[in-house]
Amino acid sequence: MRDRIKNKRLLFISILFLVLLNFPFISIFNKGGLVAGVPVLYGYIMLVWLLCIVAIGVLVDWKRAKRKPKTGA
Amino acid sequence: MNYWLVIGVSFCYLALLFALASWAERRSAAGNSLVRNPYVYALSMAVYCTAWTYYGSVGRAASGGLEYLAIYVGPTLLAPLWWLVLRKIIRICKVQRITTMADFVSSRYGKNITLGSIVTLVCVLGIVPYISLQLKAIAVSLSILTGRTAEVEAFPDTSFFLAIGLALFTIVYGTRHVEATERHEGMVTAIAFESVFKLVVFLAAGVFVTYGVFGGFGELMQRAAQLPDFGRLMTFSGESGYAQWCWMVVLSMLAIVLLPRQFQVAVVENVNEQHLNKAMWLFPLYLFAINIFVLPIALGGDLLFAGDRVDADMFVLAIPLLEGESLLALLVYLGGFAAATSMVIVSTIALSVMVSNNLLMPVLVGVPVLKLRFQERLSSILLYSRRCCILGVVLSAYFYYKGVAEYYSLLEVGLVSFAAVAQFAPAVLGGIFWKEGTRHGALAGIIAGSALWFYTLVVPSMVGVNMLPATILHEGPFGIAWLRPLELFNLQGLDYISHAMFWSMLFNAGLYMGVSLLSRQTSQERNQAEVFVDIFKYSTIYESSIVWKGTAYIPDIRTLLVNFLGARRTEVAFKAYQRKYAEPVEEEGKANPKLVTYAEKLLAGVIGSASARIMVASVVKEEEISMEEVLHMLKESQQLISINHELRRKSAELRKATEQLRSANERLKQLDQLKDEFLSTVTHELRTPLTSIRALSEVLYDNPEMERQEQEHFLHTIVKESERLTRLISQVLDLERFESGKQTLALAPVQLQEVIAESVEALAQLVQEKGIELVVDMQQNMPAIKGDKDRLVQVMVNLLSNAIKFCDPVRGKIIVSGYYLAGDIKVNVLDNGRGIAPEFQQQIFDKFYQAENQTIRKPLGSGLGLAISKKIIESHQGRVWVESETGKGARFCFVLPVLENAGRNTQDIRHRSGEVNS
Repeated sequence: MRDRIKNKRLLFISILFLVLLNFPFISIFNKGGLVAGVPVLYGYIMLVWLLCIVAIGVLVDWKRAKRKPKTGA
Repeated sequence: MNYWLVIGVSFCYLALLFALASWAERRSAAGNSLVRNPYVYALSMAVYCTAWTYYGSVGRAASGGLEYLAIYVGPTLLAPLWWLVLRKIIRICKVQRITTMADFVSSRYGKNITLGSIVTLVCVLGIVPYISLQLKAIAVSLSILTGRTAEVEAFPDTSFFLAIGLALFTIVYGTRHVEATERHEGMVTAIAFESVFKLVVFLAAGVFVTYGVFGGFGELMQRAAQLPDFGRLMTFSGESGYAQWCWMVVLSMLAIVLLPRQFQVAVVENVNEQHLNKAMWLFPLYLFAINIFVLPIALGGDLLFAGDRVDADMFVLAIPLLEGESLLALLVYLGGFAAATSMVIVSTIALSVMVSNNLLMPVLVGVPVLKLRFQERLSSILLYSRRCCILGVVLSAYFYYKGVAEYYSLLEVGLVSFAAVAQFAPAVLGGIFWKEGTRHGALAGIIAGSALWFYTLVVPSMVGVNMLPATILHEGPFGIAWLRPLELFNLQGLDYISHAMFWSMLFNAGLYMGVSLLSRQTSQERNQAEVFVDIFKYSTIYESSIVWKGTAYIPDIRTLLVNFLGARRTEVAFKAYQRKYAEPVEEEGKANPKLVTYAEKLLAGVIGSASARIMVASVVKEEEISMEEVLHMLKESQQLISINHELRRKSAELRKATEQLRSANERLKQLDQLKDEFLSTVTHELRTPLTSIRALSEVLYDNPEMERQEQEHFLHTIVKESERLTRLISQVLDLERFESGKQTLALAPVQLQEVIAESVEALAQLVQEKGIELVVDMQQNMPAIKGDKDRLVQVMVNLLSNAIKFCDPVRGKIIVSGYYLAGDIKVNVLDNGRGIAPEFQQQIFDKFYQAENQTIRKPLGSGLGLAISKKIIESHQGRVWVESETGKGARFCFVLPVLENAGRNTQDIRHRSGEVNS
């Protein structure tokens, strides 16, 4: 039962970030120049990518660690 | 740098890998496995980052811009779906003992040999160039580091010997056991180590370039912004840029699951499905980390080598060399070496198992002449064929590199490989989620997709090395313009990867679905489709979910297994079967279908499922099964599962009910015993007064001339004893009525002050006689409670007479207090007697407690008074208890709840009494 919810949440993350990192979304940031010394598109992709990793980690591992703190070691 | 030094370090590194692997295997043999943790699992997945990542990403970033990121963003986007997709594949492979992608596809579509061989061929065609790419990376980095160009060397050059070394490592640690399901712990440990090593070195190089050569990220970007290409590199160029990005993301999403080496580390070497949880974010994090410095290095290289002819692929090595950091350069070279070797090792293992199980074995066991000839030695043939395959794969990669790959950049060849394995996507993903996919559909899809892949990606590369005339690219084959490989059907405006992926995927997926819908499955295929798609339902009862009908004899099955597994392992396997199904495996006689399936599964782990099917079919007599039978029996086995669940639930319920019954029985027995005790105590208590009455009566009867005064004394005693008897009997009856629940209370609003006043009045004379000081301290205007007044008076009288009996005989003092607090009325009766020890404070409310324990307090009462009081209070939803210490008097307390409707009554009463008063 919990598995099904977990699958749905993970699917949601996957689709959400697939949209964020694809056309047409990516075209918003597809312009030259630097923002705070970082090329805009590069900065955007790296940032969203890192967010995606954090989202997976929080969903999968942090929640699990919270559920059974004793086995966290 | 000195050539021989670098060679020496390279071989030392290989030796280190050997040492590490054999150390890990020894540890695992001692039961102290390193591999059984999610971190090693996630790190071993990083075999995804090959020399292509290590050198090629930088090259791609330097010349093509940001698209290189797609190769790493794709796997991150798929990682969340591992729980859905990869876990299912892992479970299927564990249950069916599948060890390669080819076997997986062939198993799903009815253990079909043709399908398995085609997948194997595509894999070999796609992956060998990829391996050769790694050898190329090693050779090029070596020549840059030592300044010695590869052309100087004659045929057996350094990379040849390094390739042979890698093949040896793979043979030693990749083909330990004939069972391909066996985990290669030594190899996995080595791969995990290499993953850490390449990451650390690459990061070190990145830090050096960014902060050592340039003054940090900001300054590097500022300077790079002056590059003429900067604008182009940092943006996607219009429609084709987006299409390329999109297709590369999709391509890498598919590759992360379908590449043979990923399949090997993620599925075959998986020890625990739960490890996926950590890998799902650790692996993307690894990809992220290794990419942090790709862009700085690429831009740094562009800045430093502007105008020079330095291969952008080798920037990461060339920059430290340019700056004179030879130690760092050597480490960077070793990091690249690690990235290349890990890929070569894992890929060759995967390919060798594929080739031996899906190309060689079907021929060996399928052709009767060969089978008869080699039957006895099949197991060792298998092992040696695998070793030869490893050598063969590495050597053909080497020659491919020498012949073709030298002309291409790292990334191009890598993407072509990705596109090759992506052709399995419809068959694999369809296979695990769609039951209707058929063998014909899968065959049609894979063949069409691979053909288009070959035509649109491999043919142009053959033109590049002059194997085919260049006119094919420009004018099309035989001058047919719409067949030009790079602009097939006149589709223009796409880069070559998007173009190839679009056409091959379109035909592949289209034909897979179309043909599947038009063709019919065989019963065996249907069976496998059901098991694959619903694997989580069937995994515990796999052997009974495969429908099989026929006659098989146990000795035949046993011989078959012994041929491949050896006598010892066969025994172990039979024992495991026995434990699982609780049915012994006899020496003689017919084997049941479950045993046949079990044996076939074991064999599949060794020689692949298609060959295992042939082998088993050759020793048993099978009967045709109709589709209806398959579906019917699968339904039955599913029902069996649900019945099992139901049974388990029922038996749990039954256990609970039995437990309840037992405790009820216990309680009854206890009650029975109590009743017996009660009866004997009651009769004893009744006999005492009776005896004295009778004795005194007899005395009076026998002595009629007794003095009047003495007669009166006797008669007084008789009357007293009769009263006691009456009281006792009425108390027993009371108690019995309460216990059986027959006692009904005449409930009415009652003022507790009245109750107490009444009982004090009843006992006033006794109090006076004994010279006891009695203080009554009641709160005024307490709400009324709902109760039976007479009964409550009985309780108060009981408590008071108890207090009178037991208070200090000389200076007796009794305090009665009562007050209302938070919905309850509490009444205390305090005496200054000798008190009750804590251990008896519960028991004194038991029937006849005092009577039974006459030594503790004076025998002054029936012993029923407190028991009855307790019953009365409890039937008013109240509580009664005693607080006491030995020697310090006792305080009997009871609380009675003020019920709401009783409260209303109180107001009524007050109101009325107010009226009366006024």
